[in-house]
Amino acid sequence: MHWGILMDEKEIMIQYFKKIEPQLRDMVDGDVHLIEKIKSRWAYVDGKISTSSSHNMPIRFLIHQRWALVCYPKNQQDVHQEEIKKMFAHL
Amino acid sequence: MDIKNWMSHRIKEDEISKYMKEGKDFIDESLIEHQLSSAPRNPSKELVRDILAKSMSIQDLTPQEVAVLIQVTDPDMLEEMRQTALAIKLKIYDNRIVTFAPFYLGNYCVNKCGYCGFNEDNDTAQRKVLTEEEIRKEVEVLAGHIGHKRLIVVYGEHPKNDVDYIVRSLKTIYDVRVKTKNGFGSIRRVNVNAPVFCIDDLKKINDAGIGTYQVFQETYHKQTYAKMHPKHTIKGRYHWRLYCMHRALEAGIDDVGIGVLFGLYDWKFELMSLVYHTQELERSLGIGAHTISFPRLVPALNSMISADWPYLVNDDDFKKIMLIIRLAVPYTGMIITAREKASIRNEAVQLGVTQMDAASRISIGGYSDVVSAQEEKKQQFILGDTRSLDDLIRDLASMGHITSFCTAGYRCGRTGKCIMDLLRSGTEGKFCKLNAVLTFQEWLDDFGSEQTRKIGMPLIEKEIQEIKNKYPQAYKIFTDYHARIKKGERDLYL
Repeated sequence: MHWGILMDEKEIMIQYFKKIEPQLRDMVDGDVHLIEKIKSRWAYVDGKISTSSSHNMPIRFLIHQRWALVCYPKNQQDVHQEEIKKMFAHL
Repeated sequence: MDIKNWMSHRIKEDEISKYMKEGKDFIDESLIEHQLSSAPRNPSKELVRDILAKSMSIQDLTPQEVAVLIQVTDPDMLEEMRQTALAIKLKIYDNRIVTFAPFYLGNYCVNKCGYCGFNEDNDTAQRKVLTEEEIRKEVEVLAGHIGHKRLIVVYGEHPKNDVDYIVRSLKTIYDVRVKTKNGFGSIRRVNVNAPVFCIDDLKKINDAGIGTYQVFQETYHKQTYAKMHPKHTIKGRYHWRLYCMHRALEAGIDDVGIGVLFGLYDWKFELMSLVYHTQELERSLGIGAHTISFPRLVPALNSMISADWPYLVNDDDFKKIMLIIRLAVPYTGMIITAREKASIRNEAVQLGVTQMDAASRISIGGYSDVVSAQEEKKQQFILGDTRSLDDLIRDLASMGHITSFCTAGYRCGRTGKCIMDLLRSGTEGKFCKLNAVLTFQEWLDDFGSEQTRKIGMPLIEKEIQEIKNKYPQAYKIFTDYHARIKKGERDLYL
């Protein structure tokens, strides 16, 4: 893929996230949000916002210097951060 | 620096025209006037209750519905509106009030607004722009002695405090960390009340880690706007200002705050226009206003506004404005500042307001170099409420309200569309409550007087019990964080 030529980093990340979001949602059994880290601000970028899932306690972690995920899992133990990070490692 | 040259490059015409539809903006004055004049006088109880039911289900009201509420004069129906507004506030935001401090960094300004103490023609104003060292000193007082965690920083429009200065000052503010009685203090969210910028400049401000970008249209009424803001000034361009939030959202700033300076023109028209503005943002860019502010004009020295100005807003109408905003946009934050007297601010809490400032100093350098709470020649306006933060917190606590220093959403990805959807669905309230209690505990331990702790601690106990019953799945992690905070850890959030 030659995404880099046509799109900036943010667009690449969003497209990739959209593609794997269903898988991520299955893995954590809840909402997963893509976040852009801008200094101390963690800005929401993409991801389904379902009211039932947002009752769960969030887990947040960086997947890259600029990007993070916030997961709202039913069970906190279901979030395997290292496994998820690997899914973004090639970007 | 050649100020005229600087001014001539500020406005980008294409960043106005691209948002207009067939050359028209979204404030259709004749339509608004028609909606106001055609709304039924003394509307029936059934009609008003239908509208209140819609608000209560956390749906935006249409401008026509807002026009109906404006016409309500029956005291019983006004009381029902008040009760509904409070019920909505509790449903979405619970019993918490977020506090912040205004921080004026520079009062040089190239504009000549008829109502503002900083206008270029005011020769009596003492002008200053804070240096990095002075900013640091101010923040040490704000975060280390008063205990604020959230600021709204204010700048005039001038090359001395242009976008690069704003970016540097945000960095300076975020970098300050001060030892406190039991932990440390720092500013965790900086909202910006600044001039209107082009998209490229707004991107720079976004990259500096801004909280909310706040710009008030002052008045949406074009003729009044022109009267108050001379044509040859930057602020004189109505549409450059009207579309600044479109540009901000396009630049990536996803929390924007709008407002009106009530009293410049007919409050009914302004209220309708605020509703149109937030709906336009939602429709065009997918995110409505994060906050709405409603400062009220008072006659001032060296100002065009005299005591017989026809549009000054009395207390009863001002309260009506607040409760209609709460009903019209049920999930949007509402800010009342210390311009207002303490008695009005205490009442505002019962009308749906969610944020207020305290211990405010609005002169440049006013926190670290205090002569008195009011310094007329250095201030944009005169404060109505000069209570200390400790006093405000104690007053709120005695009314059953918990003061929140929460800045978690901003640092957890609950921003923009996400926070608006969560607020709308009523689910953000849980996080608000948990983080409000944690930050309130922090503040009481570091800054609370004995008197305030005496009222505050039982309130915390009550809140913890409520969390246990209402949010059992969050209780374990919450109690863990709470215990750690009591031991001196700081800035834990959920």
